Amino acid sequence: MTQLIDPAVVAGQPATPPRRPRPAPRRGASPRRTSYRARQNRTGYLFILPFLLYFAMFLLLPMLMSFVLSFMEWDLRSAPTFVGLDNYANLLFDPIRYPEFWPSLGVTLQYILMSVPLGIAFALGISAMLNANVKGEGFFKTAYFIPNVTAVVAVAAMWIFMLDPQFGLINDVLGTNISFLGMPETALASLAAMAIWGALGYNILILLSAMKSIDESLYEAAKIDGANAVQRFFAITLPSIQPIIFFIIITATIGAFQAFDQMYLMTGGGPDGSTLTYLLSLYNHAFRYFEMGTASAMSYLLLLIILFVTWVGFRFIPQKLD
Amino acid sequence: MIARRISRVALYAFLFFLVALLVGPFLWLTLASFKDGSQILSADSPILPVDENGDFQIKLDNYVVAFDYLQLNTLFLNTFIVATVATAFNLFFNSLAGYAFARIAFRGRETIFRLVLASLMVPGTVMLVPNMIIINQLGLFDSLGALIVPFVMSVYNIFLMRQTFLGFPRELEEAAIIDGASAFRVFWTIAMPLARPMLVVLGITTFMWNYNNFLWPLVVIQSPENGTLSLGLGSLVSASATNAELYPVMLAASVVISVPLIIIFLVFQKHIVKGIAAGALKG
Repeated sequence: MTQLIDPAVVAGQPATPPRRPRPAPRRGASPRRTSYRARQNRTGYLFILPFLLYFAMFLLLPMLMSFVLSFMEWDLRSAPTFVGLDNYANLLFDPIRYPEFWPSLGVTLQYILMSVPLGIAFALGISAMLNANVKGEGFFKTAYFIPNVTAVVAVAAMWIFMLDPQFGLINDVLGTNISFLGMPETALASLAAMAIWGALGYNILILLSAMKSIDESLYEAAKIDGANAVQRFFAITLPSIQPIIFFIIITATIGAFQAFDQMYLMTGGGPDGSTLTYLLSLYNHAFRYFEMGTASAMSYLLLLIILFVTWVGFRFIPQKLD
Repeated sequence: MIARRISRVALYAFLFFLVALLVGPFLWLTLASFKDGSQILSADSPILPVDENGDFQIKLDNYVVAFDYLQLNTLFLNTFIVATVATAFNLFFNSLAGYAFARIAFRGRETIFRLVLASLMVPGTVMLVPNMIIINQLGLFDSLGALIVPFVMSVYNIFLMRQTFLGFPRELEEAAIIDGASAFRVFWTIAMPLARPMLVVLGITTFMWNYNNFLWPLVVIQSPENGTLSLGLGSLVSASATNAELYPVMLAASVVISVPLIIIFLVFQKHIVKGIAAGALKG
């Protein structure tokens, strides 16, 4: 790979000088020891200084701003006004003012239920097949991963064309003229199918490498006991890779909660709001209706939902952080 | 034995069927993009691009229109600047922080690291509105800087770099420290070269992520000439969703935009495949 480090960045980085006069040692420890400590502190903070600045500027500050804004009414032009908990209360309890809030949450949950479990089940089955001493495993893994590396927008373009009622490949194959994206009954399911298709290679990659790390002797013992391939899969493979399965479920669910690109590009939330996901609705509030307070409140509600999902997940995932 | 062989054949047949399912659409799209506009928009057009005599022929008309219509030259340049600069910053600063969290025993390290990990749970959505305001305040709205600055670092990648550095034996670094090398020198000349495989993975995934990012450019970019490939194609795609006339241009542009990513992937596939698995298993 070509060197991607910007030389200017490197030059601008202050290298820590090894020795310099130290401030007076503290707490009566031996001077040498303390100066080593102080040096470690200084070097450590110098190393993470760029990150601390970034963290403050683009994570901490925005989180605070969003929080404060969620109690305001602001259209970006006039001065913001404090409205207390009104944004939250109206979103949750005033369906006349915000008719899309609950439906968009419902659409998002439907989308998650349609795409996540099925996608992981397919990936599990296919990974188990690839794990059975298949020749050309590398080729299959690479081929299956192609949808993941294609530009997201290009994938959306491709599927619009594929799903087209007149010119699309899918209707050609089926011999039909179904407008998949044009009907409320099929639009969300089509997008979910597309999501499964797009994530399959990634999930297979992770699940397969987890399966590879299972101790071979477990399978040998099961074979001697007369367990067939299906029994071995449920008795050994599944329990062994359980933490990874939970990891994928949680990351996929969090990702699906924030589904936006496909809906924005392919259906715009329609027909009849059947694909109006939570994030698309949030985007509309922020950048179409310029209701920054409402959008911020929505983002904090989403944060709560995601923290809840993560908390539920982590109750099941064995901690592996060191 | 025969039953076993049959099941083996069925297995391979299925795996190849999946290849067709996952890669086939791209081939179909690419072939279609070489057709005449009118052929694309006819209900029963053959799969291969052919002329009226049925001979194989490749037409680049759609590509010419796409480059012109979307100003693809400009968008390519913008996208490469954004993705490359963001990736360069990421590789250096994430490693620097990751190394400190792994190797330098500064006071408050564990507390800060926990805070950093906790921030992983905050969805990017929360940052959308305030980051737009911050970018606006910095005077970067509708510029390439707006696409780079919020993404010069990544908490997740810092975590991965820390895990990578933790996995190295300490002896080499300790020997250099005893010889009087500064911490930065040890980091730069010993730890970073060892971490090269992981850096390749992070470099590629960061590049691809920035190349693909759609929502953020949609929020902070207004002038078409400051856009990225994703944004440019995106405007075409959302228009095509209701207007099939735009399909020929959309198909050609989709191919153009996907090709660099697919090439990068095929060149570095071994690294990427390993790195993604490692990332998930470490997480």
